[in-house]
Amino acid sequence: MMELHFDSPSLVAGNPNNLKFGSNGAISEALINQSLITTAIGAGTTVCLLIILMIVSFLMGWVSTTFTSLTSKTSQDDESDKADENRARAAVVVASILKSSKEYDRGNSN
Amino acid sequence: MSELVDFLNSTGLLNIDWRDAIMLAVGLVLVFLAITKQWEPYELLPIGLGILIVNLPLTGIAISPSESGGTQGAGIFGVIFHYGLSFWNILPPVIFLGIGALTDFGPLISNPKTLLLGAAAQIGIFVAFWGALGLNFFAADTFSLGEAASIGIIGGADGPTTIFLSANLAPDILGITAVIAYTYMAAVPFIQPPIMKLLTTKKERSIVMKPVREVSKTEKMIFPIIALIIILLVVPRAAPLISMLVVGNIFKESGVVPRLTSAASNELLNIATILLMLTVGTQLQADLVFRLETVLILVLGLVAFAAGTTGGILFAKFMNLFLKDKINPLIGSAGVSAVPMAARISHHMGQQENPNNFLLHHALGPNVAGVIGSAVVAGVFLSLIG
Repeated sequence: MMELHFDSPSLVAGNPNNLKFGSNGAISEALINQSLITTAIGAGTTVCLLIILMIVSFLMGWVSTTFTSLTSKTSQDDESDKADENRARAAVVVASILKSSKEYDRGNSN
Repeated sequence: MSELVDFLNSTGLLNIDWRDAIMLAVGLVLVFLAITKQWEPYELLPIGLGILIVNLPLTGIAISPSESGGTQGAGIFGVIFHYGLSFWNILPPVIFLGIGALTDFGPLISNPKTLLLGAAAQIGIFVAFWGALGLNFFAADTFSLGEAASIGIIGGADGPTTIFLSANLAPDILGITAVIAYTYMAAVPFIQPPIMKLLTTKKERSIVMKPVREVSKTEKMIFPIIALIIILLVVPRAAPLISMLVVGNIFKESGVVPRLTSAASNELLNIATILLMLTVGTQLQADLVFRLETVLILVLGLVAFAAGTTGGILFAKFMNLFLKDKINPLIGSAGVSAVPMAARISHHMGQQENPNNFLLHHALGPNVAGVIGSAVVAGVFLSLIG
């Protein structure tokens, strides 16, 4: 397992939780450094993580929107096919009615 | 006769001092506010009752097992505090499970930009953190690094997170930080609006935001799982809070375990709230409260809330410099968490300018982002200081 090592102020001055400003010069400086590190890492990590989550949300939204539009397009195509089929069927019915009415007329003309 | 004297000496009547009496009054005020004004009643009522109980002298109800040398001599709230908070610290994560089962990530997913507002509002934590440390320049040894972090996290406006971090880093001030966090959360309707009005123009407050897209159930399940993995890979110490939040949320969004969702968001959350809030109240004993430190924490907590609100609003205004579809800066203040109170304030403030402006859904995005953000900061504090 890889481990990172660096000389943090806590290594110099013991447990930073017990350190206080003004106790003595060395500790005070160590605590200031520790506080700066804590702030930088804390704020940096929070901002970076939330930005990553924002990107994840954007990507998810993009995928979802694209998928939804594709699905709706496919269903629109399906619907238009169905409409054509309906129109064709209607045309056949109309044609057959017209044909039968002509035959009826012809029959009546006899 | 000596028995009678002994008995009288063992009563609270002869052992009460003025500080106890003041704390009893404070407890009664909290109970009064919770009942009559309905200020965060689920928190302030049990906290107020806890304060009342613990400040009656000689009850020993908050003596912890470590103080008594074992659980038999400890008081019930001492035992709950020891095992539920300072030693095992299980109550805040249990509350997060319930919060997760009540949380909707939809507004956040549908408008990802609002995550940035949640991040910006966390500035309050660091302002109060440095404020607490800075006080040591005026009076040496005022606050340690752990105490400063516990005070700073009040700015996250998230009660369980404050308790979780304080129990780990500064158990001595846990009661004070918790009560101050919840008190200011209850006072959000008074703290935030003046700042919001001060930092925004009428035109900005009137901005009507574009309706957001509808978020699918699949997205609502995928997002928290991805968030869980990413956050815990970077900040494993945030696991108790983030993992429970996500577990509760997946229970809810999956829709396949309605009994578990109900248990997490009702029974479990309510039981944990009772135990946690009563115990927090019992940590406010007179000898702990009547210190200069407590007043300083009170001031720093207010500074943290104000700075968080300011950070969220100003960042929203900054974002508007680059955005085509402007965001209403009022939703920036919801980044301080205080779910859903802060989001409601943004909504109401927006409606004061334009009654047809519905900001609640938009404000819930930064609101939930604030919960995640403050839990992450708490995890980082624990990693570096704990």
